[in-house]
Amino acid sequence: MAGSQDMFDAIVMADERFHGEGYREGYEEGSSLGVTEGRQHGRLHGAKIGSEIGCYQGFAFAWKCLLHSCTTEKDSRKMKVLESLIGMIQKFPYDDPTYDKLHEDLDKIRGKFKQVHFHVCLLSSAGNMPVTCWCWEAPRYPAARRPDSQTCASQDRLCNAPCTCHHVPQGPCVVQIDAAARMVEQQTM
Amino acid sequence: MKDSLVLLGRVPAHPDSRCWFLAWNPAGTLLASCGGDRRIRIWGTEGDSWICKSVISEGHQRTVRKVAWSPCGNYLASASFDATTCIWKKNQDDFECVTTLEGHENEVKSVAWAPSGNLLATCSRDKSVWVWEVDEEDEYECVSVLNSHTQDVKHVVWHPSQELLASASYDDTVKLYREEEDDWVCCATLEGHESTVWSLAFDPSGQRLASCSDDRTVRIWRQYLPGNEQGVACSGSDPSWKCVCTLSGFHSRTIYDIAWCQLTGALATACGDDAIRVFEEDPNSDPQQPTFSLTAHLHQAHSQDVNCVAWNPKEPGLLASCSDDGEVAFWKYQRPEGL
Repeated sequence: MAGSQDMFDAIVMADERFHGEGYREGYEEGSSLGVTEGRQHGRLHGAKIGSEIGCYQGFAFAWKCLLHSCTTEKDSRKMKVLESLIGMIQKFPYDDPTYDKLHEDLDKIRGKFKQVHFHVCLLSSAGNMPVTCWCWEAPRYPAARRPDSQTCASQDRLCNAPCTCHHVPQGPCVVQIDAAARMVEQQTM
Repeated sequence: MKDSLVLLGRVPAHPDSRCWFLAWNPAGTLLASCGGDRRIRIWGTEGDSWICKSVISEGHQRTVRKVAWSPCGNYLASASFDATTCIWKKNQDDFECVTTLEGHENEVKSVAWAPSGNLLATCSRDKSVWVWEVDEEDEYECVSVLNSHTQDVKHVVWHPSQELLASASYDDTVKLYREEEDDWVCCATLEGHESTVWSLAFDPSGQRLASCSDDRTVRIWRQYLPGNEQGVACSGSDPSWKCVCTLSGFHSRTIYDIAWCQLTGALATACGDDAIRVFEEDPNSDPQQPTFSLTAHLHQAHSQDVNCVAWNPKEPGLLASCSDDGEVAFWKYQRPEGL
């Protein structure tokens, strides 16, 4: 009697048992694949942020050396902004991806970098109109573009000569229809 | 309400183009207009009519989106879609470009001078707000780049008496900034609008801020200082801002601009339904829950979207407006009887 009960049990509960087993196996396999994918994803994004901040830091250190011997009031202001950027970068918690103000601090660093970039590209001789160098953009997450060694890092930059690759960026010109159009239109007003 | 807003005259300021913005000089004698034709025009009165006194046609490669006069009236700043902001020095009827401020990555949407005249703010589609300092030698220096907004920043405006800056954005928020230890920080975020916030205006005392939005409402925000009587919570020493009034149901389309008259306290709005409306605060309304009434509603003020309204700073009731139809119109507003 007991034997036939087990046999029916095995047949009747087979569906549920296999479902459960399948779920557990799938869950384990999925978790393991997920961890691998997540690790790759994190590594990629971490590298991009690191690369961006590394670029700002290199830029700041280079300019700190270049301005080291300068003593004008303007140069000391530039130095102050440079030191501020370097300080922000040094305080950034590289080893804590769960830091709750990660993106906020990153945005502040980007803003400070733009300010530094503006200052060091300013023409300091004869009080002329400020000229901003458009020839290179700091690597922005996710895209990156390295400075052209023929221009920014050239002798011209050291002597505060105007950047010769200045150009005015052309803005977008998009015409679409319907809801998407309205959204784009709002962005261009 | 029928005769509360009367047309004084129209001028074809930017023919075949949009007129985007207007700014009265501090003396109230000149009106600067800018448009999609990349030009800035300066208008003045000659007898009863308005004539174009100057045209600035060189300087920008694309649409000029906003113009702003310095508090002393000697300089005019222009913000353009070509990503630059030009500073023009007035020399009688001539304007000379003294500086071009660059740095924004794309279209500059707004420019504003602080009441001290030493600071300037610009904002752009690149989501940032830049604060500039100008010294005695007319040299401009960027003192801060603020990346607090998550979308296109549409408008910046300074508090009438403090060094407090407000910005409005496509991200549906209004943010306030002040200087803290040599750097500018975002000290408040005003949330409540359900769509793009297009423009802002402080009231004459600076205690209240009006915002207008694509969600077809106007919101009035009030500043509460730490330790206030009403028990509004503040964090640290920063004041809190709370929405004390929402004007909804009055506008049928996006509200593009709002102007708070510094002389009379009247609030004018520029709407995408081609109309201009004026609101006044009810005399005995509770300051913590003010109520505003519609005192003028002019349908078809223009033949297309009204982009800007500007109250004259010296002549009470004189209002200028401009539109996508390229025209600038002048109006006389009179508070209706019995209010």
